[in-house]
Amino acid sequence: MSNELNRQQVIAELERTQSLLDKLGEINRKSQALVEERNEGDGVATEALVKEMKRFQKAKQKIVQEKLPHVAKTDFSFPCERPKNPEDVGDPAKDIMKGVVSSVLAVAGLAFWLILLITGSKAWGLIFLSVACMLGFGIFSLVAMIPVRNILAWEQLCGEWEEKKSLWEKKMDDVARRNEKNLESFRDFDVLYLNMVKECDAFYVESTNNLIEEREKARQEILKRFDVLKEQGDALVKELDGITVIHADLFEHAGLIATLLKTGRADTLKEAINLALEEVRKDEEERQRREEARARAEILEEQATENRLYNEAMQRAAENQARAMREHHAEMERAAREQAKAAELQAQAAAAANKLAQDQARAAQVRARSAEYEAREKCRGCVNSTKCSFAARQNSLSCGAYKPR
Amino acid sequence: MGFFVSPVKMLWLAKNRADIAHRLKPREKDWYFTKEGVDAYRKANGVGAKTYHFYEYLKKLSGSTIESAALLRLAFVLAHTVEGSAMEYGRYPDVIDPNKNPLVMCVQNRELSYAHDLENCCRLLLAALHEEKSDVYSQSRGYERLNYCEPGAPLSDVYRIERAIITVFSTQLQDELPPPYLYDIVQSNAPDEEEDEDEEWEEDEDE
Repeated sequence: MSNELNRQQVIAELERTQSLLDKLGEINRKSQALVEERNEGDGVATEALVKEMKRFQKAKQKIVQEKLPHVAKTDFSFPCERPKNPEDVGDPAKDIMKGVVSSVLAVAGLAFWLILLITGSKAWGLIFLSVACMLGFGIFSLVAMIPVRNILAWEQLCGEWEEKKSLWEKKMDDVARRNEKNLESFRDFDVLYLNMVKECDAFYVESTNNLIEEREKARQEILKRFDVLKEQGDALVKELDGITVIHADLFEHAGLIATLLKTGRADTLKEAINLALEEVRKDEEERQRREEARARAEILEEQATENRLYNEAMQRAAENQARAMREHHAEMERAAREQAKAAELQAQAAAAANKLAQDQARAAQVRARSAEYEAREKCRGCVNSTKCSFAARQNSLSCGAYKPR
Repeated sequence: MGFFVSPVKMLWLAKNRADIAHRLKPREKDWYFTKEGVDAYRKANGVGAKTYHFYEYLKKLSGSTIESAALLRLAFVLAHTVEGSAMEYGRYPDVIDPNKNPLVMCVQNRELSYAHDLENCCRLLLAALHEEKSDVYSQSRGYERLNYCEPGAPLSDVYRIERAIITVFSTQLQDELPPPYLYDIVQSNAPDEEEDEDEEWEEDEDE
């Protein structure tokens, strides 16, 4: 009986230990929750404050922005670059002289050639000389005047460029005048802007101070609650320190040991402790095994998914390829049909052309025969027919010696 | 042949050949500091003509490494606000001398070519004007380094040059505030990270 009483006492003590541990765990969880609550609260408050500050700034800045001196977006780009200088420019006067002199000589050559032509002169040497003079000096004058033409073209471009430049300069003058007015407006804008900055800075300081105060209040509140929990925790720890039925390292298994004793699976405390440790070890092994099995299943599922996706992709690629092949064949057939049609049309056109050519040849033959007949008839009617040569008789239609009998 | 060129034009060409030869001679950067260059500048009437004169010089100085859009704008600023001001480089040819005018020095040392857009050019030129590092105008309180004029007081030269740079080099004036005026309530008031690190270091030392 005393053994039974001891056993009941031990079981009760073990259950009490478990209960104290559970309460201590609950207190730890509440303390952790307090810390998280404090951190979260800080983050949310800061975020809200920053949003509020930005909103305040935006509202103030909008008013200031409206007063910003209005400057139209000016296009500063220059309309076109200065025309490039012509290359190989020597002395224009010399070039002009060369051009003029050779032009004169070319004209003289031309005049001389015309004179020879009009007089019907057969002096080929002079004709050749005059033509050579005309062409040679003419070409030389063209070449000599190239730099002159280049300079004149450049001058023209420069003139156009100067006009565009003067328009651009006038535009810049306008911009400068507008800017001058804006400089005065900037003064007012600066005053507004600096006021805005001052107000925003003051708002920042005030809001930050308020936030710090609120945070401090919240912190104090949390600290009070924390202290209460700490006191409760310390009391529980003190109670636990007073428990001697099992070693402190076995406290977490106290509930299980008590159950084993209560259910009669273990007779003594020592037996119950060993059994409890054994069960814990088995549970741990089972848990690890389940964990490994789950990880393996995940890997297998992942592999199966990858295979399935790969197969689907291959199937899609094969279908696309087949479709492309079908389309290609259809296209080829269509092209072949069109080609055959075109060839047929071409053959028809060739046949028609052939027939036309044949008809034309036939008509030409008929015309030739009738002309021959006509010629023979004309020859027969001519007194000189026996005196003409064979060749003449063949061309009797155009014969100039025809004399009717 | 030679007849395709009008004789009147030929005579005109022969008469003006010296002037044409002179205009065909390429103008190097030193030309702008010669008497001829100074005379050519004096003939320029109005901001537009001066702008073009400065633009051609800046093009030669930059060696075509800087986009013409930036050079044209800078030339306009020089013609409109710098030249004729009381600044020590406010007279021609000092206004285009890179050794005297810090804005022109940015062109000579190719700093403007590293600025990828006009807003960056604006910051660079403002910093050059005040002989500061260019990133100060990228920071959140860049506007504090600008010059301001009291109401009723005449506009100072530096003020005019700054506002001209801001106006000319900002492309989005109508949609948002231009670069030196950029303000963010949080970034402008947040404590500097360097100060925080110093405090942490001091705390560690105390521990």
